[in-house]
This record gives sequence, structure tokens and C-alpha cells, in this order.
Amino acid sequence: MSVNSMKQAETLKKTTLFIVSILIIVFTLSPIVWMVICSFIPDPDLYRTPPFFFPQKLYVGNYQFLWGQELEELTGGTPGVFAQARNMLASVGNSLIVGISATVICMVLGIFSAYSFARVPMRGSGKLLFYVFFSRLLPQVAILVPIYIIIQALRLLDTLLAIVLVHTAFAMPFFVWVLFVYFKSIPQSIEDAARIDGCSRFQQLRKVTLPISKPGLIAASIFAFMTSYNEFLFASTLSNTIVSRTASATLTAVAQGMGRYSVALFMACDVIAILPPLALVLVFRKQVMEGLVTAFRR
Amino acid sequence: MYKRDKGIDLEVKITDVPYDAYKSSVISRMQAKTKTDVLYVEDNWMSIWDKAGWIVPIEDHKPEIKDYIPELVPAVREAMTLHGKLYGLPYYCDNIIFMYNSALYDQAGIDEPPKTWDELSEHCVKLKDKGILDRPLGFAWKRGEWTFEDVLFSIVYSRGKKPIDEQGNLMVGSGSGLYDTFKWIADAALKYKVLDPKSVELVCENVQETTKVAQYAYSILPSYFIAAINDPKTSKVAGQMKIAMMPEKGDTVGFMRMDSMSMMAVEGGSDQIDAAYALIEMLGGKVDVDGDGTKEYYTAKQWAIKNGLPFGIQPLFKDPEIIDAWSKWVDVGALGAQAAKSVFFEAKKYLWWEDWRPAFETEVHKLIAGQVSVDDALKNVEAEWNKLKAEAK
Amino acid sequence: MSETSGTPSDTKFGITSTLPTVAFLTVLSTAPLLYAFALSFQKYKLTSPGQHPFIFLENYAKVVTSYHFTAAITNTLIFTVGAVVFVFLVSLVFSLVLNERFRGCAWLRILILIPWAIPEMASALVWRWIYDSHFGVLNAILVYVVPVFDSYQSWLGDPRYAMAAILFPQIWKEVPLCVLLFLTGYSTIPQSLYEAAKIDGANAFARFKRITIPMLKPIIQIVLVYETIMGIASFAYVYILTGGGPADATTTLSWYTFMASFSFADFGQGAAIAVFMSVISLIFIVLYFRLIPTRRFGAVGV
Repeated sequence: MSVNSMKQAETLKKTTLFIVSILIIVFTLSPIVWMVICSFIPDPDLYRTPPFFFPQKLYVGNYQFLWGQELEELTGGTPGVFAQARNMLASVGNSLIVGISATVICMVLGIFSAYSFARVPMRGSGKLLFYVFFSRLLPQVAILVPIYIIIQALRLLDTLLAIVLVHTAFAMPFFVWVLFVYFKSIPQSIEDAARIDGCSRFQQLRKVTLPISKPGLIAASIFAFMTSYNEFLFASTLSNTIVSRTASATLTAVAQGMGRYSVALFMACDVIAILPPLALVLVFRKQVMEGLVTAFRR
Repeated sequence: MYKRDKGIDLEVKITDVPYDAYKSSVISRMQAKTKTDVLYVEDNWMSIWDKAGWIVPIEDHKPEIKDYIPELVPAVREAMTLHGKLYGLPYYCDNIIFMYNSALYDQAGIDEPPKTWDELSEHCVKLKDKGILDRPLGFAWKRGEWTFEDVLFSIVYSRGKKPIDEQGNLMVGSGSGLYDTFKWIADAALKYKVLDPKSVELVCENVQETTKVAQYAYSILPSYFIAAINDPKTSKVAGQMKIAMMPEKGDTVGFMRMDSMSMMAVEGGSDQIDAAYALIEMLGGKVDVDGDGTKEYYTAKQWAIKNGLPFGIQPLFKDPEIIDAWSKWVDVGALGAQAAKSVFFEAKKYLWWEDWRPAFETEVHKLIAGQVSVDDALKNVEAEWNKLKAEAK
Repeated sequence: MSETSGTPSDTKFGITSTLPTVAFLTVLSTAPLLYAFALSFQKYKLTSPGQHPFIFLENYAKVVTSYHFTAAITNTLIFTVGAVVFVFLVSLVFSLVLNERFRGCAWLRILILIPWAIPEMASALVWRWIYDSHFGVLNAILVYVVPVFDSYQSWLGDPRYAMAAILFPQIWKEVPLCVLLFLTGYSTIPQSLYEAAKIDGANAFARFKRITIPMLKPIIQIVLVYETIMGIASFAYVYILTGGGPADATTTLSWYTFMASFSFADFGQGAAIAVFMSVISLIFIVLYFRLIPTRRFGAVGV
């Protein structure tokens, strides 16, 4: 190849990289950016054509409302409607409780199961693994009513516990899967060394496998948490009051008033709701990427 | 918007549910037999919930409720009665009214609001030709929107025609109310191009907001919206929206929301029934609020004054406080005149009403988009009605 | 891989380790599913309480002849195929770029995670506002900034656009995962293959076609099947953005299930549709597991 055509190819490549990079930035960020902008605009000002792309000053009234202050500039609606939005902070708290609890249960049950599937020879192990995994992939809408009836029978309606249980059931399969693959990727020799030293399976797990598996554990836990935080259908169906309402459930309640009432306020709710998972993913991005990748790597 | 549990001594546990989720949450709740004594019930669901055994005729357990009958607006009383018995006390009752922007009318040089639906189309064309608004007419006709059928069938009733005959058949032949209405809609959308095709994704509040910035010249909505549209604090058209009688014969659709007693309250024994009834009465009937021995319609009045929500109680229309509060945004006389001509939309009493709605709404959407002819749309809705009717036997 | 059973203590460990998990999932996942399955053969309508006779396939017949069924099947098909194709293409393009080294590429790799981190309901809210047909920003951009249209479009109400409108948020959410999968895939391809090809005179495109794609086959298969399953189950966007409309343009099987259970209050019918959906998904799950090399999947003692 001549020098010129190599240079041309080089420029072409650079330009393509640049364009696609811009595309990636616009693609990933634009909804979030718009959400944030709209949350800092007083509600009546949102209903204009064209909209304020860049507001002159930052209006914090929407957030103040969520922190308990009263607001004049809310569109339509009765106070009861905005009571849903007022729950935002408390429900984020609930989401954190539920998410962490579900993750903890996943860890307690899932670590042992995954380890067993990965390392402990037992009849029927593989079939059980298949069983654990396949329950996740069927449509959730299908089991909404049956689960409601079960939770009601257990007298757990409108409790955080119910949501923790349901979310654990949703998160468990993937959690077990990620750990399973991770455990399998650990060289057998290290564990065998511990075995030879006379450790029981349990001690093997505790002393050798787990310490090495920290990255995989972190990744699996984050996925479990995200699954829980993300879930809205069951969280809103199983809860009646703020006592058991998660962030996604409050957003669902708010969304059902969407287009009816103060959009700016709803955007503020949204921003608050996305802060925890965003923070989590950004802080632990390395583990997340590694984990996602491990789960599917050969 | 809520359902309640009951303790003793009228300790009420309120479960507040966002409106759009209410129906599905009640279904889940009653399926699982969660303790519920009082339910907020819409006229759409009453028949079905009664058949499901969830609500009971209060008359059977608390005959004193019959004392309220003379004071109820007739259309509302009819709506709350099933099998000849009263099932609740009204919470919020309203009817569809015709609002138009008088300032835009002045601009276009139109003196009077339209007397027929065809004249409405003519007025819209005038607004369009004068460059004032491209699509002056918008409806809140999103799939599942609660006022969809109330508004559309108010157009049918205003022609002085009923959509359903005595045997429960849908009347769609040429010359029927529904036929004329569908034709009018199709023409407005496709021939004159004055009906906004965006209507298929709008909810009431979207129409309200668009009217407030003068991008629609009309709002054909429940009357409580006029409060917001004429509110000088948030609306650019404050004071410009006026009420006119529904075109043609002036009849309109009235709808009701009531509080009913659930079967579980009855099963709980007479104490429970008393408690439930006390709550229902507090919400929709007369209570002695200030302890002076006189009972008044406290809740209904509060909602009316504070939020402009109309009611199903006749005497309240003459209440001076309410008239005073409402005259800020509407000509109360005109409102009362329209309310007097409101009719109960009896299709809601049929058990397959809720099953039929999505199919009906789909056909209307297709009609507006020009994907189906008037005749075919009518044929399809009738076919679906008959099919569901047969299945319900 | 032959089945081996280990020592008795191993078996004891195995059972105590896996039993809680299995029991937990059985109560909260499998039992409800079986219950729904049973429901689908019963008459379970709100308007006939207390009578739940077995009507065998009547619910299924009702579903298949129902007004919404054809639309539901067609729309689910269109949505799923659209989701899979576009998620695949967009992820492929993005991942190729992110695989290169250039200034700022580390930031981009962080950014790409964001759509995955946002809860579905949160993004549905903002998409609803972005698409607003009177005041939404998408319209504002396409009319005032880059004049493509001369008036505001109805993204959620125009039958031409509605399907695309609910497809985009799905694509937005699924791209991060697939980008990461592709990036993983690239890392498993030995550089030496590319070197050899370069020496043989192959250009970038040829290298991509002859080396990258074939080596990526397992990942590609996983992406396709996983996104198919996610596409079939997708519910949030129809729920919040369109309610199945306009007309039946965005009524998918998942929306139809919800409608049958909570609008029609016919749980028998709802269950039948759900079983239908589950069968379709199950077919893809089996496909999914067939594609993973058994060596990888095999637990000890398959």
C-alpha cells in the first residue's frame, strides 16, 4: 500500500472513531441530561414550544418540594397525587433496604449453591443447576397474580419482606450463574491443595475459594442489587402504602400520573431515583464489566 | 382513588392508590381476599364488581340509605342503582361539557358557539382557514383513558339518540347516533382535517394543558377541568373559556364515582356494617361535622369549593358558598343547565362493557387514522359487542 | 461428561448447599408458574365467582380468536425482531469503536454502562416526556434545531411511529450489555490471526469478515437469543408509553396478558396467554442452552 492511501485510511478511521464516539455520548447521555435539565425548571415553564434548552437559572423548587416544602407552581392535580411524589426519598430508602437484603440472602444461599454446583460432585447437580437458572427467563407478567395470592396467604402484603423475597427469587438464578462460572474458572489446583491439607468442603470454601473470588462476588452482588432496584411490577402490585413502596414502585405510581400533572416534579423524582444505581455502577464499574463478561465468557 | 379497611370505633385504614393503578390493584386485592370494607367504585365497574360478589346493595343492610334518594341527581341515582337497589353514596359525579375559547372565536369573527356538530366542524374550518389554529379540536382519546367513551358517547347522546336499545343491542345502522358520530369524527379528522390526530395519545390533562396555551380552541371534557383552564395563575386563556350547551339536543353523558360497601363488611357482622356505612355516609352523605346537631353534605361541599369537583346531590347546586366559589371560573347557571340534561350511559351496566372498551377504542383510533371506513368500523365494533354478549351468557 | 457421585460427605454438603436455594425458588418461581398453568385450563372470570370449572382448551381458543390476538402476535414479532436486529447492530458498531485505543476511550467505556444502570421505570418516565407530542424535546429538536419536520409529530400516537417509539428505549437499555459481550469476544481473538491476515494483504473489512465474525459466533448466538427473550418479555414501555395504542399498534403479548388479567378480569384467559408466551420463551431458552458448549455448562456431575 502506498503511503498516501495508508494516510487516507488512517484519517478515515480517525473520523469514523470520532463520529461514533459522539454518537455514543449522545446516545447514552441525552435522556439523562434532559431529565436533569427538566428537573431544574419550574413546571409551568416546561409547557412551551420550543422548550428551554438551557435554562437561565437553576430552579430548585421541585427538589424542595420533595424535601417537604410547599410549592405554588404545580400543574393541576389534587394534593393526594403529589403525595405519591413526596414519597420519593422514603421509597429510595426502601429500595436500598430491599436491594441489600435481597443481595444478602442471595449471597447466603447462592454462594453455597454455586460452589456446590461448581466443585462438589453430586448426582443430579447439573439438572438442579438448569432448574435454578431457567426460572428467571420466563415472563414475569405470567406469575403476577399467583405470587400476589401466595404473598397474601403468608399475610405479607404491604411489607418489605414480601418484596425482598420476590426480588431474591428473581435475582438468585443469575447470581448463582455468575458465581458458578467464576468458581469454575479458578484453577482446581489451589483448592486441591487445601483439600490435601485436610480441609472440609466448607473450610475450602471459606479459606480458599471465597477470598480469591472477591471480584466475582462483588459483580454478582451488584447484579442482584440492580435486579431488585430495577423491578417495578411486583414492587408496585404487592405494596399498598409507603411502608413497603420501593423507588421503582413510586416511580410507577408517578408514571401513571404522567402527562397529567407536574412533569418537572416527576423529573426531579426520577433524578433522585437513579442516583443510587448510577453511583453503584460508576464506582464499581470495573467489577461490573468483569462480572458481566465472566458470566458469558467461555 | 382509595380503598379502606376498618377497625373499631371508626378507625379507618385508608389505602391510597394512584388512580390509573386503582382498578388492577382492587382486582388483586379482592382476589386475595384482603380485608376491605369500603370501596371506591366507578360506574364502569359496578356491574362487574357486583357480579363478582365484591359489593352489595346497601339498601339491604342499611335501609336508611333510601332517605337520600330524593336528593340525588336522577342520572346519578340511576347509575348507582342495580337490580332496583342502591349500591352506594356519590363521591364525585360529573358530566361532559362543551368548552370553547371565546377569544379565538372573536378573532375568527364567529359570534355564537355551534348549535350542531356539523356547525362545529364549520367553525373549526374557519379557524383553520384564518390561520389561527391548524387543528383546533383535540380529544383525550388515548387507549384506556377514563373519559374516552364518556366523551365520545356524549356526542351520541347530544344528538338525542341512544347508542343501545332495550334488548342490549348496539345500534349502528345508518341514521343511528353512533353512525352519525363516527361519520362526524372521520370527516373532522380526514376530510376537514380539523380534529387533531394526536388525540389518540392524549389524556385529559394533555388536552387541558394544550387548551391553556391556546393551541386547542375547544375542550370537551368533564366539567371540573374548567377550573384549571380558567385559573389566572397558570393559564394563558384564563377567563376566555366559556361553556356552551352541547350541540344539537344538548344532552350529555353523566358519570359517577361512589363509595360502596363490600361483601366482607357484611360478612363481618352488624358492627362492621355500621362502621362501613358510617364511613360511606361521611364521604358521600350527610354528617354532623361541627357537632351542632345539623347534618350537611360536608365532604362533597369541600371538594366542590376547593377543587371544583361536582357532585351527585341536587340541593348542593343551590348552595351559595359553592356558587360563590365556582363563579370565579364558570357561569354556574350554564353549568347547572347542562347538568340538568345529563344522562346515564347505560352501556356501563352490561357485564362485557370493560371487555369491549379496548376493541372499541382501537376501532376509533383506526377511524381517525383513516385505516378503516366508517361502515367497517361500525361493523367491527358491533361484531365484537355481539361476540362478547354471546360469551357472557 | 459422566455422572459421578462423590463421597457421602460431599453429597451431604451438596444437598445442604443446594436445597435451600432450590426450595426457595420452587416456592416463589416454579409454584406460581404451575399455578398459572393450571389456571389457564379453568374458567376464572371475575363475573363468575366461585365457579372455576375445567374448560380445557377453551381459554386458548378464546385467546386465539380474540380481537387482539393477531395484533399481539404480529407486534411481538416485529418488536422482538426489531429489538434483536438493532441492539445487535448498534452494539456491534459501538463495541468496535470502544475496542480501539484513543484519547478519551476510557471515559466512553464508562458512559456506555449508563443505560444499563438506569431502572426501566425511570427511563420510561423520561422517554414519555421526550416523546410528548405537544411539548416534547424530540419534536423540538426535529422542528427547530434540525428542521426535519415542519410541525410536531405524534410519536406515540401515530401508527407509523409508535412501534419505533417503544423500540428505541428497549434498544437503549440493552446495548450496554451486548457491547460488553462483544468486547469480551474481541479479547479472546488472538492478535496473531490479525497479524497474519495483514501480511497476506487483507484489508480491515476483510479481516473483520473473515476473522472477527466467525470467532465471535458463540457470543453472537448468545446475544441473539438473550435479546430475543428480553424482547418477548418487554412490558414497561408499552405500559407507560402507549397503553397498547394507537389502535392495537403496540399491543404485544405481554401487554395482552396484563390486559386480560386486569382489564377483562379474566384470569383464565390471562394465564393462557402467559403460558403461550412462556412456551415461546422456553423454546428460545432451550436454544440458548444448546448453544453453550457443554464443557462450560456442565456442573460437576451432570
